[in-house]
Amino acid sequence: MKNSRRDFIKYSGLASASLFMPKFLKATANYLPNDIRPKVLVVIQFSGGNDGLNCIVPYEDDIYRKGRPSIGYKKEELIKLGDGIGMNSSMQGLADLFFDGNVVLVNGVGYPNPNRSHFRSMDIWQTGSDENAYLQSGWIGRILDSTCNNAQCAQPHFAVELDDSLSLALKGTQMSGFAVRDPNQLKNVNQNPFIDSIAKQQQQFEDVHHNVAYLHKLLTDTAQSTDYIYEQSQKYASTTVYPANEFGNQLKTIAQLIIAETNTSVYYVSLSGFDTHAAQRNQQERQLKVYADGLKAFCTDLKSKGKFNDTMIMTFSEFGRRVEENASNGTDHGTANNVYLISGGLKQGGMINDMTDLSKLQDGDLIHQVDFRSVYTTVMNKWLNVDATAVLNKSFPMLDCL
Amino acid sequence: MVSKQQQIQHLYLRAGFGETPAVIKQKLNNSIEHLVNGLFDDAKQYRNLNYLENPAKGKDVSNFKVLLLILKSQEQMRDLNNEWMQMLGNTKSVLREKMTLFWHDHFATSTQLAYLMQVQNNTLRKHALGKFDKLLHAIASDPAMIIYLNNQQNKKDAPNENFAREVMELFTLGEGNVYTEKDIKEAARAFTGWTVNKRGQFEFVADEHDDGEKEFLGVKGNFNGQDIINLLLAEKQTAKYVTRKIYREFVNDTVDEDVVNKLAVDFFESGYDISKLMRCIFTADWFYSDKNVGAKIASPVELLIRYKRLVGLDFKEKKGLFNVQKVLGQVLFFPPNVAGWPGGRNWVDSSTLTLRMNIPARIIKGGGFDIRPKPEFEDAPVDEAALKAKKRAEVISDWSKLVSTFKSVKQEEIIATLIPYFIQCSDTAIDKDLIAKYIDGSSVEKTIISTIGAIMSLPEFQLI
Repeated sequence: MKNSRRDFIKYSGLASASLFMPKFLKATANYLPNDIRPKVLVVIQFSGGNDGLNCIVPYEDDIYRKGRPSIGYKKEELIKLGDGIGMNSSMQGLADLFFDGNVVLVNGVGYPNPNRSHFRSMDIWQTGSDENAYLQSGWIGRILDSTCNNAQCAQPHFAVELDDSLSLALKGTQMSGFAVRDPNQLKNVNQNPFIDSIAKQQQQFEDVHHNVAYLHKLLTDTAQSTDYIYEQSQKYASTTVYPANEFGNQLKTIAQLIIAETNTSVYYVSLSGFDTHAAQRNQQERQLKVYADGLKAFCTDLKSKGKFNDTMIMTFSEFGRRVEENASNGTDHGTANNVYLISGGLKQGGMINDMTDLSKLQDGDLIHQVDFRSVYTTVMNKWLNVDATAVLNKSFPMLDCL
Repeated sequence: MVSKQQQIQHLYLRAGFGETPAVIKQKLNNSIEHLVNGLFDDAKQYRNLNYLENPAKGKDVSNFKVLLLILKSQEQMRDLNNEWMQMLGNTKSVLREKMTLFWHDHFATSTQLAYLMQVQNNTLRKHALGKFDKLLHAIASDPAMIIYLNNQQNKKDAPNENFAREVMELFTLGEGNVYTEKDIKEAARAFTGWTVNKRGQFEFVADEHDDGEKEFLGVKGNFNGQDIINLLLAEKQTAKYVTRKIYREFVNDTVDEDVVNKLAVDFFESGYDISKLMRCIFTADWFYSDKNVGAKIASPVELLIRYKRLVGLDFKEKKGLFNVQKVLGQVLFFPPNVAGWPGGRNWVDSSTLTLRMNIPARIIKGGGFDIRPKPEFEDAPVDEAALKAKKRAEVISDWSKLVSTFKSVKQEEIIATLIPYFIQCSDTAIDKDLIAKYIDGSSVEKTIISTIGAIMSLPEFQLI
């Protein structure tokens, strides 16, 4: 029994008193941080529906063991987090951060009447809508909208997605974020001097509400953001070794921009390949390793430049997977899932609430404990200093971890 | 003041996908009424998408899940997408296709069941210019719609409200208008037993239908699904909601409420005659007013089909056309959700506007597009080696028609002559001296192509 429950409590101070009686939904209205240093949020999206139960594993739970005779993990295969709870050993990088107190694990995050379609469920997560509503703007997009005052808004690079195209999450009603796959290519991609000249024309439009003025303004903003992000990306060359893969490169780019004190509050990056209907173990382990190794390098890089305390990384997926494995050594689409919040600036790291009770399933799937918008609300109110209720058009209780 | 030429271009851009300058020149002396008649005449001759045979035909289909497996094919969805894109680019029946595209957005459905998506597309096309009541009844019993909105799970003992909710919120009354949550529950009961059988066809299963009394919109009766639809059609709000959406799509994002109210009354009184409504719009003076011409941001499909019709834009591989739709934010048969594409200013953001404005340069230089769409949810992890080896999406184009139309225009008049053929909105912000700097005057052909290329690279070209 050595190094089990006691250590777990030490590492997860938050959960200590409330392990079996969650009291994490403690609403703190009108919270304003005393600290007004610019803070950065990095959202990492696992696309395809990551199997949370094989990430944070209740390896002693009979229902888990019976449901997953082939693909379930045993105690000795896992990094032990606490009594009967282990982390997938492909995520050593995340475990290291966890033991340093830089990770909050939130269990059972989801929404009522969960939708098992990738498209629809991702739509719900990205827009922050109710499960039966259809919003046409994303939650980060609406943070951008909230900066607008009489058609004067923040610039697109306030929120940056590391990709060729923008996700719905970063599209607002009045303005949207900025998509860039690789800032080094910005100069090449925009090597269209004609368009560049139009963008830099100093024109006054009388009516910014007309689409001609709107398109010209968007073009000018885009050109300014393009130049700015390119210049910022050249300021600092990271010496930290990142894994040699695309995800590693994306995180390195983000770290370089953060260290260069770029005026960007939200970064967004996706890692795909989590739709593990067959031969799950190999595929998921590979992706988790890509994630955790990249993450570890990223946090080390930020820490070395004193930026880790002002950066928060939030990792989510559109849903988890069914408790029972399928006949192809994989898992099918499920419901509630873990969210990881990672930062040097957490009030306290650890597991913030109980593992989801596997004896209480609905149609073989986990029942959510925490609405995903509680996580968003916490991050917006306490980290980004944004009025979450205005962005989500509803108020949600906050998690007590920031 | 909108010139006659721009009025005619306006008609063809909104009722279709634009016509070449050569065609516009031929029509300059015709009356608008005559041209509108021509559009309706052309809409009578059309063909269906007949690309796919029913893959379940002759197969041993033991149950519904097996049927879904047989029908599911990502590759066929891409092929079907290509078939429709090609049809939009080539058909003479432009008005019918434009309306089919509108209904595809209105009754947005997205399943990976390619054959059933083809069936639905043909249903939309059949009723596209007919009566809205017939269209709505046909869609309510459309297999792809039933599967998409979970009506095959809507059974007497466990009603599923998905279809009942959307038929009111998105297809007829509009969110929060007239109906209550109670009406949704009652309507869901009426649609119980409306399902899809093992052959992929609509089937009414009486055993799963709740034939008890319901109270819907204040009326009591032992309603079935058809009764609910008829009660929805009896609401004037349905005519208003649909008319308003048509106005936003075909006239202007910013709605003139008086005009919409009048149109809606006529639409309702005509028994939901879609052709009559569209004819009324296309022949109205206000349709051709300054504030409506060139006011709309073209959708990605409108933009791509316009390029196809003007300069024969296509991709050497089918996947290229699919990927460019994806990166631009509109893929036929893949609406983002049941609410359809948001449209309007939502079509453009920093990356899509840049890509749109770079299209002419990429076509003219011939380098193709270096586009990487987001992976599908079902895709295996990204293969790093394949990423590095990835080729550009190479394009095909043919500028000869445009060159021959303008080959006798004098060099010094070329910019002023060409702009009105491609720009519909106000041209006051266009810097003609700047365009002049980027003209390649090494031959007549190159002069014309580089001038048109520059005009098409203007933000104003995005407006139709």
